[in-house]
Amino acid sequence: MSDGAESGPGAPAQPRLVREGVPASSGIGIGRAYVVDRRRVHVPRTRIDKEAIEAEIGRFLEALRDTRQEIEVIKTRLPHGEHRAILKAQQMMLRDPDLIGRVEQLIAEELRCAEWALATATDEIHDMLDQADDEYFRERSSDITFLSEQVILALLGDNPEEITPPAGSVVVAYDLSPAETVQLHRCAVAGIVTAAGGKTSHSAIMARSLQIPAVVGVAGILGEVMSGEVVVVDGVRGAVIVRPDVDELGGHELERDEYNAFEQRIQREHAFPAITVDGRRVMTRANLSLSEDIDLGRRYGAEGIGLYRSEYMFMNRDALPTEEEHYLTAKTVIRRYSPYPVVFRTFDLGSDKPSKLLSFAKAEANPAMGLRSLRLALREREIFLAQLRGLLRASLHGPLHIMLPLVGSVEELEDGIAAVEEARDQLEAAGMAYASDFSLGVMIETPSAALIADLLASRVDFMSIGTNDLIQYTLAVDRDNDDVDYLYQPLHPAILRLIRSVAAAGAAHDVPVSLCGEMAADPRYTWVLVGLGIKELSMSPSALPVIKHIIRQSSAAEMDALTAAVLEARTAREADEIVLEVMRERFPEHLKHGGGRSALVEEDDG
Amino acid sequence: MSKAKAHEVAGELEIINPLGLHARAASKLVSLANKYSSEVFLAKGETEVNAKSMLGVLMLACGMGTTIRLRCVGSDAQRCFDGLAELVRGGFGEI
Repeated sequence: MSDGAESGPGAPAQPRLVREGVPASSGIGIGRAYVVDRRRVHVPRTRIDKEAIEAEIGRFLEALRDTRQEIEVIKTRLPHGEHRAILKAQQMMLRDPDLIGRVEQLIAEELRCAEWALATATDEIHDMLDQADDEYFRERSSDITFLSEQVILALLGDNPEEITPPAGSVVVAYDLSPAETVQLHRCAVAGIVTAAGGKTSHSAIMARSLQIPAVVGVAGILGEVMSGEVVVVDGVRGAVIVRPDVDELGGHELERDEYNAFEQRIQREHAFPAITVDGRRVMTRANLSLSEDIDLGRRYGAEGIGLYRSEYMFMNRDALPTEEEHYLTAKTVIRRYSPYPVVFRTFDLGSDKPSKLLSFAKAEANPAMGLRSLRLALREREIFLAQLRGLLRASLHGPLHIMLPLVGSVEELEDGIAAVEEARDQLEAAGMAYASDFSLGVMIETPSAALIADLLASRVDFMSIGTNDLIQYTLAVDRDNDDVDYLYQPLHPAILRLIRSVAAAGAAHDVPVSLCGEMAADPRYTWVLVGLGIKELSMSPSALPVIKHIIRQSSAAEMDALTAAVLEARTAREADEIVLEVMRERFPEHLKHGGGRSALVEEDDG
Repeated sequence: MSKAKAHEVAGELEIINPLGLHARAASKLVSLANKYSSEVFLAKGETEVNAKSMLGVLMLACGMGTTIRLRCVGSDAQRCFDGLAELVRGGFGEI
């Protein structure tokens, strides 16, 4: 396998193959594979003569300069934006005094040739970066590999031939450097598939900003496709189809064209409010955390933030966040979304979201039922109070909502409220300013909370149903467990009844009820959720345009009618069939192209 | 380098921008550090790196909330420290 050599036709026919990876850049691309396999740059390991030291260092410096210039040329071809900043950072690495010093030292003291010295120095940097506990810093190691390979190729006089795939091809590579990704954009490629990388790798970021469909992290893909073979890149679902059957190809092409047309149409209308044709208004908000672009919600037409996951402030760091940081972070988000509200969930740590900063790192036999979330916050009271003080201070800058997660009883809610009051008294005593008109809410994510929603409602300003945990706890199913995930059924009659009764309790107490689990982003469930009485949906930002569009095309009357029918169902399967029949009929494109069904970003720290 | 006595100015700073010292913030810091004649060092815990080195700064892997120690040595140490401290305290213009 070599760079893009045509080797497809003539080879024995291999069977069709489907591989899954990380959907890094949305869209569907179809084309002939152009395989780039340049993982193995051959590094010569020769010793040089003492007299040659100076010349060898000179050769190295010249290669660095050449590589910097190559990047400069690529940079001038680009519009401004995130990808330019990435290339600039790479140029700085090529001027790095530490790196240059270390290579010079290896040449002068150990008499290694420049290529060998650079490879050694790069390996040393790798070892350091690999130890970082933040994914972002670990992924920088691949940037450094690319740079080093580029310089080594320059040293070898092997001018790294530019990747020049024919227009419309799908580039399959182990990984791509930012510079190479830009080059692909110019070649008008149809899609990108890489074996390495994650959502935050630079090639993924570049592909998104250049709008090239891409699936990354498809391990082993290089051994499975040859140049010239047809490949379908499904950047919506994160799938790669190699050698699709001739009769399915037309279907994929149609899907691609429809997807593009649908995307354009939906995105054009993202800012219109979600009001049914007969006037029922549904507020649509975004779920957000520190690891994501703060403007994502605005870009997709969010009316505020319905769930800000504050626990990300506790991850991948060495010190606990201070009151000041909570204040600054909350202030930034609130200002960005004002006059719309921002709902801050107090830190929801423990179970699947551990933080090394909290002392309770005891191994638990059953973490989902253990010391997590509000329970943990009440135990780690000082940490909790610092967060609450920061949030209360930030409430001066706009409509702030504080939401307590995983409440199971009135006592727990009262303990949470007492903590908020204590934080307020502390601010009062310290003479700090805060707004007194913040609102306080509770998350409904345990069956116990759902069943006593009426009792909770009388104590709070709003309630928000977290369906991910509510389904897990009600049905006693871990959806990450392959053996039981078939039992994870959002339309199980038990779940529908719980959601309905929470919505009814909210209505009776004049307390708005929102829903912020993954169900909110799934176009199949929009009618049922609104029909059950949910007035606000909060979801992964990219799902917003699709869900809003569905609501605008529907009437509350037909939503209520479908919901009534679904509530009659005896099993989740029956309910599914009823819902799918109607929704497929009414919204075939929305269900197919699916908005944010797989786009819920959990561990995507950038 | 002038004949002025080499000064050392040092102090602790906290990284307050949400993304920490990621590539863009690090490149701002390194670019600014390179505008001064002083030598500039950045430490997290026991590890001290050359703040004029992009790779060095990246290798510290500082997330938000990390306390770093900035040390400037040279004739323009005070100006250098003040300039860099302002950049860090301002959250690298990202807040």
